Amino acid sequence: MTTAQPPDLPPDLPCIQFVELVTEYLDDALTPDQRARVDAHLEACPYCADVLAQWQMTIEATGRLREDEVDLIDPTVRQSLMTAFREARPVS
Amino acid sequence: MPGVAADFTDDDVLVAALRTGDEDAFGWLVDRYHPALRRLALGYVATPSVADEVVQDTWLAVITGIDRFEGRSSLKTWIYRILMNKARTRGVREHRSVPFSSFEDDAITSGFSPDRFRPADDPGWPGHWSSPPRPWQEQPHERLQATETLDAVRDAIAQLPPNQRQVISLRDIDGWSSEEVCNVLSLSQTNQRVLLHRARAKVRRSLESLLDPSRP
Repeated sequence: MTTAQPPDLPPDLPCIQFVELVTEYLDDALTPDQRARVDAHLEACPYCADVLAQWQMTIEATGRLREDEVDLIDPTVRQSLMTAFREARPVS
Repeated sequence: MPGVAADFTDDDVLVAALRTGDEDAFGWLVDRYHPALRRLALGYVATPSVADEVVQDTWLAVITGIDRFEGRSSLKTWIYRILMNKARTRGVREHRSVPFSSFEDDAITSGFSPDRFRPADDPGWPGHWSSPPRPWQEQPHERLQATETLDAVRDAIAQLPPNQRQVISLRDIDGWSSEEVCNVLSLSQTNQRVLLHRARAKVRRSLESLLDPSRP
């Protein structure tokens, strides 16, 4: 026999629910009540604090791909685009 | 305006310069957005060469259409919408369109296997960790910047379903806001976050196997 689930997050947020909320938490997309419960959980649970840190490091590492510029524009493509611009839009 | 560094981050300045045929303005625009446009196009079409064509068609549409740009959205959003329309059209023609509503049906989006948590009927701590993650902070910080790490991130993103790849690319590589991503990809905030969460979860997991070798 299961008891009725509360409509919002349970007071003691289980870790298995926290890990589903990390992105919403980081996007500040939780309600103030939800956010307070997540904050309280993070205070008490070092493992979930580690998960949050890992999530942030994952985002940081992903962001480094931009600086890495693996997909810099091909110079010949750039040149042909500049030519197309010049021909279509002569300096007025 | 030779010798004057115009502020092309200001849409008004940029659009005016483009309309008068300022090549510096167009070059700035291409350098700034071409890689991201290409990444986005790759989610819709079959091959890199088709993606290149889609991006080039987009730039040609920008060149010819800039006079009609009304400034109701940012120039960036306008350009990305053109790209999305062209990429979708091409993708449909190649039978490779990806409906954004098609989510994987597993309930766990975080990438943590349910067996890493205590069962729901656990007498003490239901739903809490039974096999918690090991902190990466113990790893030397340089590890996060190593080529090996970036390669793992790149590989993980390349293997994502296209809709997840597009969202994580725009959010976490190109640094877009969730509003901008929803706008350009026509996603609800909720769907956008689910896709982003799944995508980050897979990248995190591939980093975990790199940074915590005790885990398979």
